[in-house]
Amino acid sequence: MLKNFVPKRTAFGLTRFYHPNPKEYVPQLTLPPLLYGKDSKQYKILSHSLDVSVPEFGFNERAIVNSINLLGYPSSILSVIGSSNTPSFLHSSTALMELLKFNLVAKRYQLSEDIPLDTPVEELPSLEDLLIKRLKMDVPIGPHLSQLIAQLSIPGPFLTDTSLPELHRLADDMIYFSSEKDHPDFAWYAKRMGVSTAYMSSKLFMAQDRSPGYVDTFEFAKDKLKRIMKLGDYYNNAEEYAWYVLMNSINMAKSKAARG
Amino acid sequence: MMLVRSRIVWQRFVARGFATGGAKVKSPQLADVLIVGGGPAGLTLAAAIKASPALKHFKTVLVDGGDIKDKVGSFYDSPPENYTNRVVSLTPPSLDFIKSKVGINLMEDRMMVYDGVYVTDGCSNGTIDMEKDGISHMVEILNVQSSALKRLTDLQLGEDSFKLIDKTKVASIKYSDPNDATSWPIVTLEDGQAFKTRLLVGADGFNSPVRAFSGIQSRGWFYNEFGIVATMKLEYPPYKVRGWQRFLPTGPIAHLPLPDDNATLVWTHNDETTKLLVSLTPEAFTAMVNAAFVLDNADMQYYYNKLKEKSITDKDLIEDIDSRIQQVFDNLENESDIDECYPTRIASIIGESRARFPMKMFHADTYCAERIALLGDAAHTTHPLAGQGLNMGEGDTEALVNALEKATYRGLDIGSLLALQPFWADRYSTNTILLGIADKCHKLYGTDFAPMVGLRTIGANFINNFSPIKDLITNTLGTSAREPIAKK
Amino acid sequence: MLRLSSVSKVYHVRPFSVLSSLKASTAPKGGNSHKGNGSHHVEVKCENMDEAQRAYLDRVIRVDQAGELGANYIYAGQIFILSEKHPNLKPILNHMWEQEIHHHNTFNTLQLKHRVRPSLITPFWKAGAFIMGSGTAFISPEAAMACTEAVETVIGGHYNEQLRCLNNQYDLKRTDGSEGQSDEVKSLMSVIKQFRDDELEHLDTAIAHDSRKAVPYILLTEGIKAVCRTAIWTAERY
Repeated sequence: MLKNFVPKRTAFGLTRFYHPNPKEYVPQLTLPPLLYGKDSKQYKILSHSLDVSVPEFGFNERAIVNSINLLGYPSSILSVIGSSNTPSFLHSSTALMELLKFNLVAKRYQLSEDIPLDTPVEELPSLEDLLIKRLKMDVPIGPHLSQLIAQLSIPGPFLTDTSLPELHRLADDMIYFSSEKDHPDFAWYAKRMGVSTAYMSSKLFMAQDRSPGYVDTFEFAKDKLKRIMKLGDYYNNAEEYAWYVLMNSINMAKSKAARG
Repeated sequence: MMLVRSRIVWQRFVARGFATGGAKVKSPQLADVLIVGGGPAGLTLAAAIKASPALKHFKTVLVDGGDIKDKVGSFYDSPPENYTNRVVSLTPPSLDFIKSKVGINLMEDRMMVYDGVYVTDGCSNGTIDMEKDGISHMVEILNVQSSALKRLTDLQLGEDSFKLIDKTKVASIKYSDPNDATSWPIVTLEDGQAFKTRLLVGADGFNSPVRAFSGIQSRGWFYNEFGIVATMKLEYPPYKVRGWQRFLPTGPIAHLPLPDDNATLVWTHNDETTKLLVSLTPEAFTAMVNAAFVLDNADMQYYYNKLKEKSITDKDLIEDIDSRIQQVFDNLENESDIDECYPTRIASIIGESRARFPMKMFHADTYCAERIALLGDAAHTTHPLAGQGLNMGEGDTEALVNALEKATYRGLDIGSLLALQPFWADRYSTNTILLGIADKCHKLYGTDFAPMVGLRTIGANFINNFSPIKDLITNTLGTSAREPIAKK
Repeated sequence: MLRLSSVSKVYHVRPFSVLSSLKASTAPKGGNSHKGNGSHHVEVKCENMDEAQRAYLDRVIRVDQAGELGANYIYAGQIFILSEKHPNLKPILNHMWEQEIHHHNTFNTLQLKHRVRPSLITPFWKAGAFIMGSGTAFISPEAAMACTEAVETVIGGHYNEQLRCLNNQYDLKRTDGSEGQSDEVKSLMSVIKQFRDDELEHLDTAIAHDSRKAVPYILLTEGIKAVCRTAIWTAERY
């Protein structure tokens, strides 16, 4: 009966589930949406590629093969790595698709791994800190960023099933694990949209940034985030104002009607 | 026989004792009007009620949590030499009500009349020069409070006509019949006294417990800004006595005149910067105030950053500001513009007079409910940039007194909604207009977005040169929208 | 896949059992058990909920949050219109409103804590609920009570359905071999139970205050019930 409630596909390409309290449950063996956990061979190979091979060779199968060889695994493991992805004309190989996915997911988990559960809100990092931290994670692969973004954004199933949902999950994680106030109404969506926009535009900037240590990117990111948060404030103020004017007009009418 | 008798008497005594026993709270005293809050609005209302022939027989009680009898009472006879930092602007209708109708003698030598307001824009040279003789008076709040208290003391009223209870907060308010929202409210004080009152007036400020009790919703917002107030000493008394207001994108700064070479400051800014400014030495703060009226926002931000990092000494700051101000003055076309366009330079700040308070705008849905009336800040709070806060409060007081007088002449119960509603009907639209003016100005000038700045500069210069509109605005502000606007 | 096969050598459990990893890691290492004085406390953990269970919980929190938001604004609308001319209703309406505010805040906290997305059309719910509350209050106080009656009836049934599902479909295995709901599902159930009781109390109050005397009674109640059911359906999905 409950099976009927699993949503098939939602508007934002993302199926969200309730996040249970981690303390009460057995720790998960995998890092969803990946199908393997931190101790698995796939994780070892792909994280090695990201750290060592991709900065040298870029985002292609050669980087993965290089890591496999360096770590001493048999080369047939390449097909295991790519096994969960459907081959596509738009991407060169399924293993590469897995590498791209891994890049996004592993870095997202890295963002929150050193924040213990039950940290009080005041001690959480600020949203700006988390954004910069995530951008800094891409510094080693900086020269290949435009290649990465190009591969991630090719229109197709990979974009709607992997890249976009990961972007949304990243924005959600950044807001959840920061000291930023979260809202239980439409602002929940607007804020996440805003953070995604800030992140993506900073990422695009970073892809063509030649400044030493990417300092320009971080300045840009901070400024962009401030502007977007201000937009949010403007919307909130506008809504507040509209509500106030409505109430005020009704009260004015009432006061005139009451033997004015 | 005697023993039996006395035993019966004793039993009866004990029984009666048990019947009323346990209740430590004295049974409530009756009152006609109970005013919670001894601020200027509350005290003026008490004085107005006692001075009005129709209302003076009503038993009035005024309750305040602060020190009224000593602190406020002593102000009239022995005022301090320096001016206090809580100063308000009172327009002629308010003063007229206070002086003529209520018969209060304000301390005239501590009031300053001024003849106009000079409004400038921090992002451009848009200027509105509102000139009108006697547009308003600057009066200290303690002046109003103590003068009202003096009026009450002079009337020599007995305890059963007027009772002032100070240094006591209100502990609880409830209806005498919990199921009937039209029954007389019982106000219990901290010290156990309880009053059952015909009319409960809340003049108790923004966080009004009376408004909370009445369930009347107050709608509005916090500006996320704080205002710094301070008393200042000028280099010399100004030749043209007027109020100065400069709208910086971070918040307006206002310089308002007090007698001789004194002036009062209201400077609005965000939380961080106001904390920083209040923590500066008086000399550094003086320099910053002078700078805020002359230099532009970029310079001011530079100074804030330097001060935040503590990377500039007071001496260097003062020197830098002086030289920049001199540069601006040197670039003016004629020297007389200095006095015309900029306020007199400030020589010093009275150090302990600096204080900070949050800015907000709120308006209650209605000013009266059965047996409850709201007055002053409890009903509406505004940004001080339009100088209308207490004027609205005094207007409310006058309207409430009028409504109560009318009700008494017609034999109505003064606590009934029928008696109170004319007061609400009278004041609600006026207050809405004044609140709206202050809020719109704040919104309009709160940005440095270039097209907005351009539009508002054009608008301001147009208004400055087109006298019908300028006169309309001046009159509205100068009369707190009381006289019909059609009559000029 | 590669990992579990090594685990199943140690334990004779079904492969792919989620509990096997935990059993492996908490198995007493030889030699410690007789030295231990019971201070090595193993926390009992539940197996992970499957996708369907988590999807349902997601829906529950979202629709309940939207429902309480609606109830909150309905009462606000009613009080806005009725508080002046009918001050005798003020205490009871304020009491019910305060309870709804508490309900709304509880679900807001749960929604943020468990990272559930709120309903997409929340501004629409706010405006609609306020208009419905003030509209029925404008007709008459009895109509307002009838609106309350209709809303609370639908919500009472809706909560009952949720409780049934949570009670029956959420038995999880635990590491100590027992079965049953996890603590957080239990606490959610008790919260919903408490709120259901509050809502039914509101229903009785509304009837006691002459809701049945409202003039277009059938039209009002059936119309509002239909609106509520549609709202529930929409909030669950969007």
